[in-house]
Amino acid sequence: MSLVNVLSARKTYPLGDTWIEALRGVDLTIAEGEFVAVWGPSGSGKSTLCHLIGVIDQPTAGRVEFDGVDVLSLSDDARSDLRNRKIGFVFQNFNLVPVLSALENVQLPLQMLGVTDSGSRKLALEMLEKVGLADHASHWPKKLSGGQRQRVAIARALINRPVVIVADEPTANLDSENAQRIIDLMRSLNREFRTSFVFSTHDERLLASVDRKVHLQDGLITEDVRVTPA
Amino acid sequence: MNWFVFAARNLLRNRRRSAVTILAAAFGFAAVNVFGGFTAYMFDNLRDGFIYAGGNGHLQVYRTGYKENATTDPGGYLVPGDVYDRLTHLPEKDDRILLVAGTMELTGQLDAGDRANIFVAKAFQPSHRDVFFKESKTLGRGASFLDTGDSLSDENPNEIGIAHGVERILGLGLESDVALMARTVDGQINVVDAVVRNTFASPSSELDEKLIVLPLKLAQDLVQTEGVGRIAILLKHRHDLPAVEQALREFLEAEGGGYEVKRWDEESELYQLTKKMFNMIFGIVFFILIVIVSMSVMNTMAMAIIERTTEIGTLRALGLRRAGVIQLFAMEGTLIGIGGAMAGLLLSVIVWATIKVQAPMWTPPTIGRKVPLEIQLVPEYLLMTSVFLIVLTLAAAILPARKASSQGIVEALGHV
Repeated sequence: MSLVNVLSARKTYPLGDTWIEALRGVDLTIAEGEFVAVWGPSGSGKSTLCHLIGVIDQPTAGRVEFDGVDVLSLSDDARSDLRNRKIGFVFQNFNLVPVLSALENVQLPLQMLGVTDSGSRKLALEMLEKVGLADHASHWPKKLSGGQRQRVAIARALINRPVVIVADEPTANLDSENAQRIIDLMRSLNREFRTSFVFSTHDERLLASVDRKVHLQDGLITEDVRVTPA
Repeated sequence: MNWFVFAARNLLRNRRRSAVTILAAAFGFAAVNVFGGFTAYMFDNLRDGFIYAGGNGHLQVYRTGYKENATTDPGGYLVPGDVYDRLTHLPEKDDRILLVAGTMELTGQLDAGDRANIFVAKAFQPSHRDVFFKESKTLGRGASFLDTGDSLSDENPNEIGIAHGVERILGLGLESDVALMARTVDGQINVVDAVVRNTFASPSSELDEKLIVLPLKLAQDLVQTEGVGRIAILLKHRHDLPAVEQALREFLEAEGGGYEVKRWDEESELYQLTKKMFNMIFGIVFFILIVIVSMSVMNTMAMAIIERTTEIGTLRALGLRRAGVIQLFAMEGTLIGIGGAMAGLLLSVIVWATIKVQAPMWTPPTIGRKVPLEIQLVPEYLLMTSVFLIVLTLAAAILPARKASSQGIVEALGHV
């Protein structure tokens, strides 16, 4: 069953006096439980596509459907609620809140839903355990390594049990060993929770474990391949 | 972790900036309350000065037309002696009234042998004046009203007090014999002898060379009447004023009418003008402080928003609604307001306590002698300023937060 449908999506950005066409008519469907890599060189439109799938941006033309609903028809509050309940985000720079501990960062999406502190604390601890950081729960982000921060970010993305997690270049700021660990972690969580993962990368070496490889070049999908992971 | 803790930690990110903002709010709070406390003290002082030092009481009774015509026809507008006599028995029937004191204002000539000068006199019963002074909060703690000599007494009705200016230009001293000359109620010229019992500082430099005080009995002998010009009604408690005023009106109506009953604040022009002036100054100071505090908070919030743009984008991406972003910054503004109010309260108490301990003396315009300067801590002002400060800082935070919440998530995430 398809979760996200990107239909003839185009996206242009102003850049000084000119306009940049980041996406030039993209069609893509993400199904439940898929582990998808969007790959391609810098400037190919990977991040823009991730933003559209994650409902934090809207196409200039075309449309994006989430669970069959055109996201453009939703109010800003409804899109916020959709992101909170059904979409998880993992960012290239981890984007942890520096004044919150690892545990509190993971609790954040639940607290936005109005879950009590004690209720969200228990679930967040469980999630930190899943990513192997239960013993770092009280640590501040600045005391964690890059790989640990990204694992906290993954725990935060999963805490509300979303149907899809969008990770924009989640390994770009990590060394190759940590990068592979993060991909492996996401893959194992994908299998455990049946949550779809869509991540962008320009590193071909990280594609070995994915179900599907979507190659982007100059704002267009040039290849969309389903593979049997190694 | 709850949102308030989150907001508090955000404020601690840039401790120096938050501290400066809270201090700005605190100084604003303290400035308003210290100035408000000083004006409250001034108003109390003016009230005290009029009611007690001036011997005017909380209510004044006089014949209709007395103020306009007393100088040209002094006898025609006096309260008759029998009416005054019945009024003096009111405290026995109404325990809200402490004292009914007749007074008289008159002018004439003060003769000191080879020198003479016109006088402006206020006449009262000396024992009544003692009651006024005893009841006064301000006068009870001030320096002696008299510079030399003794207080006038009911037992010696021929003794008078003179201002320093009168003493100087007539070459008088204690125990000097003088003659008072004035027109009687029938328009004849009358003279009575008197002795100088004390000298005092006039509350007004313009009256310094003319002002004398004398016992009511001597004034009545001089103008040959048993009536009085005005009657001062002194109450035990100020809050009884409206009820007593009404009762007094009914009493005087039963006496045939033709009397004015005025509250102290209606009669004291100085109080009204001073209050109006101080309220205006207070309003200007308050407005300036509002601008400074709100600009300071808005600047702090705007800086915080710029620094945390990526974080705002992250929170929005995680599902925080625009209203949630505004609420978060509103909480931070509220915390600044609460911190500012608490620090401001502490500052106000420090200033109040310092002045209380140091007790500097000064001479208020209506009393004419040194009394301790005070700054009052007015609970209503403190409460209102606290609420206002919190609302102001909240509003000052909301304005930039609204702008922050409406920016695009992708732009915010890409902010450098």
